Amino acid sequence: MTRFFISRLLQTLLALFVIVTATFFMSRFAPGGPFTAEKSTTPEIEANIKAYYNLDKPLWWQYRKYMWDVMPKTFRPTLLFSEQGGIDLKAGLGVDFGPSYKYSNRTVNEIIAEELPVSIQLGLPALAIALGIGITLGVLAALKRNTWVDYAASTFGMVGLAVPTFVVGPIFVLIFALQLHWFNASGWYTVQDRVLPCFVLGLAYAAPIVRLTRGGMLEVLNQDFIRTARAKGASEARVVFRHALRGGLLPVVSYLGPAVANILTGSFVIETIFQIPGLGREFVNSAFNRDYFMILGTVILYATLIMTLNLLVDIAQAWMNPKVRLEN
Amino acid sequence: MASIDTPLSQFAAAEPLEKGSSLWHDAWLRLRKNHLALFGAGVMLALVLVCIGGWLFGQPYYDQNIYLANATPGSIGIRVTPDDSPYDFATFEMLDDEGVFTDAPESQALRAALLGGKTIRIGDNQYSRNYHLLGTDKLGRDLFARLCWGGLISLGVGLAATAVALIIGVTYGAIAGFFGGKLDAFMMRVVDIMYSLPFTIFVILLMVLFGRHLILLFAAIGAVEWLTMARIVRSQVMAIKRMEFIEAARSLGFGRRRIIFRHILPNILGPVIVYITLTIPSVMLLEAFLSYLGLGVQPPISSLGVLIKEGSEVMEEYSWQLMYPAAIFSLMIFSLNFLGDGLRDALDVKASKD
Repeated sequence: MTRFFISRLLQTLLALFVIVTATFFMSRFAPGGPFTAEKSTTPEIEANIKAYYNLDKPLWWQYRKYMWDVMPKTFRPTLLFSEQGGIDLKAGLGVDFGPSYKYSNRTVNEIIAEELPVSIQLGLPALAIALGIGITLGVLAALKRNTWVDYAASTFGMVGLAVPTFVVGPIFVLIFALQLHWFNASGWYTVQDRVLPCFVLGLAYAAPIVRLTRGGMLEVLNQDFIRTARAKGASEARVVFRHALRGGLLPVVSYLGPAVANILTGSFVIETIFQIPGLGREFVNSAFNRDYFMILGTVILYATLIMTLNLLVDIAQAWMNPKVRLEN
Repeated sequence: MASIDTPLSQFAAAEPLEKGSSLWHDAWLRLRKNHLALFGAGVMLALVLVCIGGWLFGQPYYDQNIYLANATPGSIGIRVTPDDSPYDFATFEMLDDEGVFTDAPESQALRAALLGGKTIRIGDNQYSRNYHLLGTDKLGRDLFARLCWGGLISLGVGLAATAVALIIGVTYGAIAGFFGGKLDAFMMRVVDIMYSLPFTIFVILLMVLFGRHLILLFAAIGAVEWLTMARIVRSQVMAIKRMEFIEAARSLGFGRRRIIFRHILPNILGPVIVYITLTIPSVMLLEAFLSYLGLGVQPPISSLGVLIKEGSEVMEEYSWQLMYPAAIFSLMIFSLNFLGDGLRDALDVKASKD
């Protein structure tokens, strides 16, 4: 188990390094630059700006400096999260993502600190909705196999997989905001602003969870230990919740790794449709603007999150599965 | 007890062997019972035929008509050829400023003639009826024609990118599975690492930073999708290469290439086909997603993703511009998923991940 953990950790670190390096050089070798869109400046001014941001130094020097800056150098959890719900990566981890070229006078750290909480506020309810709907429907479908409950739940899963968020989003806005006026079509201030985006995002992830839960539960419910549990007179609720659910949710757990990262960093589509000031939009905008450090900051953040969660999922799975746990 | 020198003809005269049932025949029998899968295949086929028909025989998808922008489904417009001299009617005072026929008797007669399906010639120009089954978009382009064209593009991107994924994945997986050992361990570790990379981000970065070439789109999507293919092929090859008929082939002195291509690969065709049917819809989703972000195919070419994006921009006033592309797109993904699931059951493929 320890060996497994260490090898997976090393693998994660290596992958992170590859991602940061690839993104760094990819964004630099792309045509255009952060200041090409500016009004015409004299060469002297442009040279001054470049010198100010160290862009005149050799690329290798810039790469080395950046890699050192983003390396976590301390760990002070009390400073990382302030009481106001802010996130201070510089004080908490010693991570400095550098300045933003597009939003002058602001650092990437500040932008992340401002926009990540919004994305998380969007993501957490969505995650709860996805898990609530997904697991409930999946378990019901497996228990009532080949009845109308099963067909309804499976159809929901199929529709959810076939209809992407950028279709569901506008249609929901059209129906629930513009026609029925129940909720607001955009914004992020009141509860009525937040219902639709959270639901649309949650439904998108509920569909695969329904399918995975149903498949996992069906497999487990056919096994001998379930028959044993039933034979010794355990109630149906006990069979389902104590015995079957643990194994039946294994596929869901492995799906949750990347899904949680996706949900928490915000979906570009949802944040664009509903005009939410979250971090998701920055993924695309920063690349359009050639805002080098913003691109790198968002990619690193996202990659770290997704890979940490994957690592946790792998460990959780290894631990939940005796076959893997006892190997080596 | 038959002696050793029993003539062979005696065996030939015995009861004829029962006709064998091939894997594909069995699979077809099972698939035939799966109504959802057949339904998916039928819908898909119908959609493709309609798209091809609309593309070959319908109106050009790029024909603009500023007088008939955002027309409701079922609107009728006038088609002018050659299209660089539109609406000469205006000079004959048949049309008012908004392109509507005036009340003058000759104007109304012309309108009736056009609606009746007649083609009218005035000077070098030819005027005919243009029926917009699904209405028009903001530039007055026929939505049905754009849908047909966009559907074909979406499917085409799906097929091409899947082909890229297929070639890389099968080659990679077959090599890793066949040779095994250290090489296999290394190659699969690479796949593991690539699996954990946030690839959507990379595809987006690639498209934003290096421009939106169609080729780049195929390559980027194909590069994402080959990983699962490689895993499936590898595990299949590993299972098959231990079987006796491979040993027999080896003992007959066949070369490695012949064994891989003639004996192993044909036997993993089932899982590969299943995976292809399931990859095409996921590629189409990714392409639509990129197109929605404005990073997919570029105008005047459209794809279903582009149409959905354009439709959602004007959905408040002209909701059909969102509804039709969204419905067609979802229907395509839906049917392909049903077909893929049905094939998986029919060919009895276990979706093994390792």
